[in-house]
Amino acid sequence: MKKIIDGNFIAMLESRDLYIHRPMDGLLGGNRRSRNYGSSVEFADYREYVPGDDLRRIDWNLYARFEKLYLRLFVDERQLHHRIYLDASASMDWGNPEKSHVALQLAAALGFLAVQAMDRVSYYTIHGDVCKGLCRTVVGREAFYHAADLLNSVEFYEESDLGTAIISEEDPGKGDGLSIIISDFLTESDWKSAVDRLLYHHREVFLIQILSRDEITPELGGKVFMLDSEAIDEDDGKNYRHDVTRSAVKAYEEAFLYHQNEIKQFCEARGVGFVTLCSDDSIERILFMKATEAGLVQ
Amino acid sequence: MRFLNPAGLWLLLGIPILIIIYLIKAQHEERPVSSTFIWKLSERFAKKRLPLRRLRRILLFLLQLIMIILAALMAAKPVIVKGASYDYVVILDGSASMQNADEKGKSRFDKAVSAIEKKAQDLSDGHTMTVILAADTASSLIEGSDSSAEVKLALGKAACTNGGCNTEEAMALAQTACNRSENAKVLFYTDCAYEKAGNITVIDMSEDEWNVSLGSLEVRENGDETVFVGSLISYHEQADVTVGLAIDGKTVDARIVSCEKDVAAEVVFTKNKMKPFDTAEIFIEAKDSLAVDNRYALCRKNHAKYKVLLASESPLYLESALTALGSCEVTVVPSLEDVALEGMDLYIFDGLVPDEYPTDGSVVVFGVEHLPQGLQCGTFYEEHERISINKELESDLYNGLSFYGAVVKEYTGLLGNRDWQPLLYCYSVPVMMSSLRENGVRFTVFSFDLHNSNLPLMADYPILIGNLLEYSIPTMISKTDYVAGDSITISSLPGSGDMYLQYPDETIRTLYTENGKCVLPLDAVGIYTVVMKGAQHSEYTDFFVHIAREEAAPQTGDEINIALSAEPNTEPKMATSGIWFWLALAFLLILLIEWEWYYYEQY
Repeated sequence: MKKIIDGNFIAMLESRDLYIHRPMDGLLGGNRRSRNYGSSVEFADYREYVPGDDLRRIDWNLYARFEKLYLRLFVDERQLHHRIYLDASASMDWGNPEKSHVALQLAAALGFLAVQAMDRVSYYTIHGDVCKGLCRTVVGREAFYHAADLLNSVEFYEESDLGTAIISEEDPGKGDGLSIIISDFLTESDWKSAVDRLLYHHREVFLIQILSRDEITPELGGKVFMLDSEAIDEDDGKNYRHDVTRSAVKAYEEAFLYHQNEIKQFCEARGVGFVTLCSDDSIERILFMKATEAGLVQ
Repeated sequence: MRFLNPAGLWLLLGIPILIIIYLIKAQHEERPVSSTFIWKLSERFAKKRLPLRRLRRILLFLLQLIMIILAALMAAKPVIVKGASYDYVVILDGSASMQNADEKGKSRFDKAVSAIEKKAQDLSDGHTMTVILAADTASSLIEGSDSSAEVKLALGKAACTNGGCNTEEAMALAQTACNRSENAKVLFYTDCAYEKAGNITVIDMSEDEWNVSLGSLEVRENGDETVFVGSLISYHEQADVTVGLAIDGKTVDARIVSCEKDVAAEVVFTKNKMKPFDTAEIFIEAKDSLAVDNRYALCRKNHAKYKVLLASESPLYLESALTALGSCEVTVVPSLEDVALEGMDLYIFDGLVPDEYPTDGSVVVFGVEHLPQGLQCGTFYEEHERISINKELESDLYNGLSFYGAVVKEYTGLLGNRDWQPLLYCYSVPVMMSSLRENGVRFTVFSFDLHNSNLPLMADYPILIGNLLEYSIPTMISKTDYVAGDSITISSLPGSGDMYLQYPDETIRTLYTENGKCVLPLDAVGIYTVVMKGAQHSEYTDFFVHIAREEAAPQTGDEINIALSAEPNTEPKMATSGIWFWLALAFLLILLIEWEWYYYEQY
């Protein structure tokens, strides 16, 4: 089994941070600013005294100047809780290098960035229509390393119904962090409904699509009986007989483009981040270029 | 269509093999993929298959199928059978009679050529053609050609002659051509009606055209009168014809002669006190079908009087005979002392012998005292013996002579080498021999004395002397009447310089002699003039060339035949017509398309 992280990997990540587009509510004691005023040591603003306010916050210097009572307000810093959903279907374990390896590396990288920012992160694997937590919520580096080991042992099999799995999750979180879905999105499942649900819960959603080179540019030719990696047997309806001719390949390319544009338009309409990655790309290129360009990492 | 190699059609077995391959290929190859999601979605984007586009799926199969069929056909070597084909052996009569023309001016020869050219247009169907021109000599114009253009070109070079038709030679050439063929057909384009033509198809080009022909002209001297008698015939029609007489090119008289159809008629012109002339010609002004026989000329050998030196102590017999001829100036010398032996055409030594015989003229010697080189005396005979001619020799010397009753009472036999020719015999002993010298002069020896013979008293004697004169003194030509197709031998005279021949169309040709002679073929009809430019004087003489009389008349023949193959090949010939080439071209084209299509479809 490939090791998804090592010392160099960690060192590389220390200069990066997850990019949160809007202020979010979270738990106290974090490193992320929220909309509210809190009790951190960072000065935020003044407001007029209202009977009942804490007298310890009155700024007496200001009173001496203006002979009015003003309260000193401080930035509220929260701890966010990010959730990373990993499509663990058989189709994700395809390609050379496998998409699963890239997905796990990315999941680990994103988890480290969260932990580094003193946020919390939860990992979920999706098999079939079940969304299962990989481990307990990760807080701190030690818990992260444990979670990374567990990520290393994730198995990819069966098909996955992203929509049903994510929707059926009892607690998707409430406006306190990123919900990242890592999949190839080559599925008929209603993942859009899942995204809408997450948005309903005020999550900031980011979709990461990982594809292999031959999924982008097929290398088939002639009369082929395509055996879907998620098919149970030869008679499975997922399998597909086709005469791959030049015109068939052209049709594939058009369909692929159509599918990508559909996802992009869906995401743009909802303010959901979306990036397509190729499993050929190195993790460094993904993190420092693709993810940065997509606004996931800064 | 037939196949030269039917076994090649076994390649068609490739068709079921191809079908089996496609059936096997129809099975899809199992290939694992990550997801068929996009492939299934692509069905929406696949262009609607129009009926023609459906064909694209099987286009490769169809192309390969066609290639198999073409390959099988090429291997089977197809040929298009266009029916029986023949090797035509065409004989074209090129004699003078083929010049007979119709009212439009198209001659029988022209019509025959047109007919042959039309026949040649069938050559593309596998036929071949050999064309033989039968004139005085027969020659092949083209052999075994399958190209109508080539045949037309060869016929364009053929021309009708004024000579005859050498049927024997033509048949021999045709037989040679037929021997090379299994399926020969002989066609003879002629105007001659043959009684039997055997295997030959005779195409009669004659249309019984009207022709009036002049056949002869004679001149008779009758005292002061000169009578010109000509003969003519009107073929196929009765006609009243105007016949003119021209003397030395100037018309002097004309007559209207009524000619019955196909019956010879005579035309007579009588002239009084005529001056000597070179040529007399009769002519017809008529628009008949053949013009070359509308003139007939008589040419006289014109020359200055012969200069004869007669050295004799008793020249009576000889001098009188020579003088009577009227054609020589005789100089008689009783002895040879202080006599210059030069500048004469003929030297006659009768009993007198010079130290050296002259070489600038012919010599006749009576006596055997000093015989020239190559000649020796034989036995002397003192007995009466008849004089006879050399029957193995045909010579103008004997014209009009019989020597009947001519006797010699003593004579010496002559022995000569092969340069010497015996002319007269007494029993079997040569008593007159003659030799022709290199410079053209003749040396004649009589080994008996005329006084010892009754010859001078005979009617033959002046004829003999006249003939001897002509025989001894060389002339440029031997006669003045020739038939077209003949050859003429023109001799140079002693001391002659340049010689020329003027043709009837007035073109002039320089003559080059070999051993004093020049042989020329004669084809053009009309009056020719031979001119010799000598150091001392020029000589000229005319002669007339005409077509053979039988060429003017309707042509008939007895029998001709050609032996064809005993078992003619009745199998029609195969005309390949370039099928294989087009098949190969189509195969290569389809192969190219199939490759392109295959690699285009490959992904």
